[in-house]
Amino acid sequence: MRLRVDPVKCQGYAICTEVAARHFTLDDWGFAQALVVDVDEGDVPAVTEAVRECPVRAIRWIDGPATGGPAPRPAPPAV
Amino acid sequence: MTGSARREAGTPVVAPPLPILTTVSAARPWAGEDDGLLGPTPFVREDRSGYEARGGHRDRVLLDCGDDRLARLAARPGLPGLLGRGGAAFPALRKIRAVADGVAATGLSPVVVANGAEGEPLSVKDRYLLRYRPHLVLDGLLTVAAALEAPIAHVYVADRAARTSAEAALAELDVPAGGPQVRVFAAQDTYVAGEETAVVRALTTGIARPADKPPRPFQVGVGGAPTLVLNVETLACIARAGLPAGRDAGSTFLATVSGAGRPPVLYELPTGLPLGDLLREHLGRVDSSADVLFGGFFGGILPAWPDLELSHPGVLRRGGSLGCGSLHLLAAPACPVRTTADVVAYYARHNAGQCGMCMASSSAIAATLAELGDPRPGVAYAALLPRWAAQLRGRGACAVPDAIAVLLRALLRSHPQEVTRHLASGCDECRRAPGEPRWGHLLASLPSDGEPVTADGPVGRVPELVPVGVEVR
Repeated sequence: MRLRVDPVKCQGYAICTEVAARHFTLDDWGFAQALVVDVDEGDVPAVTEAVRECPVRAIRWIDGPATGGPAPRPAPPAV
Repeated sequence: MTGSARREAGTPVVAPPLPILTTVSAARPWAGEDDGLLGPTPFVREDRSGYEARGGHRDRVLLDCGDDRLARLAARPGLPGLLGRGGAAFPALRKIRAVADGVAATGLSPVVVANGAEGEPLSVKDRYLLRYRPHLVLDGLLTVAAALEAPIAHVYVADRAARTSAEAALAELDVPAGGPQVRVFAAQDTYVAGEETAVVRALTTGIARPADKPPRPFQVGVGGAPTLVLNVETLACIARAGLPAGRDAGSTFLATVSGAGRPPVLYELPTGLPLGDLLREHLGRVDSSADVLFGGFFGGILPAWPDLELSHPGVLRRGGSLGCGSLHLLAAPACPVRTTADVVAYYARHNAGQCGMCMASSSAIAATLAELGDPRPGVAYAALLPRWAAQLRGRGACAVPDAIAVLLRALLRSHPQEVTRHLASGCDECRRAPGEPRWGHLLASLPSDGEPVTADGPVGRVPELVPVGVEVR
């Protein structure tokens, strides 16, 4: 399973660094950075909690087939 | 390297006034056996009849009928090895096939886009192609549209003159019924508008800002459809490979060469040319003390090694990136730290303004680099600069954080003693750098409408250097 922090969404709440400290850290400006991109099977629950607890839903799993996998999604909202 | 010699001499350096907005009004092929990408007469617009006289708009018809269209496209000379010319150097054929796979998986009709929104301030080649060789670009666009059976094709372009030329070419072409619907889209003239997810968003919602990946446009693109976004030079290469006198699709590339106080020139260079050969032509000598800012603002500053091979793998091997193909030469007394600071200052101002980590890091790093005119002995910048370079890799929705990482890494790798010298004793050149916009001397453009062009005219093999005007804004 692969992990991605969406940089557009991340606001640096830092909850991920508390619930999955081995997988996330804050960069020098206070934004979340994934320390591990390919997550081991055994660590999936901890990271899943981070995915769930992020107030802005900035963390996501990016697995799936390389082409044509994800269903079309609406364009991201204007920022 | 140049800086330390300057410093030891201890003489005050008189700063030459830096030109603002350098106009590129000369273009030169290296040794073309066909009309190349620059065209038969540089800076003269080629119309439909001119292009068709060279065999253009023809091979597409063969592609248009029957099965195995992709296989027939792939059989064009050089196509399998063609790398995208927008900067990322992704294999073009693999991208085209990925869109075909996306179509097979979703059942949606694909969209194809000619990306001519050239955001890199030191590059003019995409605008040049659309202004002066619109039919070569359109032929490439219609070719990939035919190969993918795409019903809709967009020409995405910011430069007004380029847009006018593309619209006129479309009117001349009169795309036959059954062919794709081709639309010209007026892109925003911003640095990030040409990033491919920004292209997709602009064509879908009008907002030219990058989106986080995945999904990539070949998965979910314009209106949700699998979308092929190819740089206009990539499309020109594809079209050229189909011409009777055409050459391998990747055999040459367009390079906007500026800096070193010389008139900038748009060259068409053989892929893999040693940098020393280009310097000998452009400067009249091989200046091994100079540096080169590669790939617009993206590819890092490297010493002008004469044996550096001008190709994507060649520049990558030496720690930089060829990116969009531009080379900005920094001759003494230019300081690589100062130019790095200028470029990061540009990024701090011209990022998409949507990722917190990018906005925060670019302003902070710009501020740090801007301080290096004065000694910073007590600050741990020597450790912080590589740390920041590592922190920014792969993080952004677009590649701006990566660009800053490449700049920092290349500086630390190629000029460690320069960085040490700045931290210990400062630098006159850096101290003299103006407030914003610091990057005013790092902009290149084509002549504006009605502005006289002092081009080479009909081009010989190696014409004389032509003096060109430097426009002061």
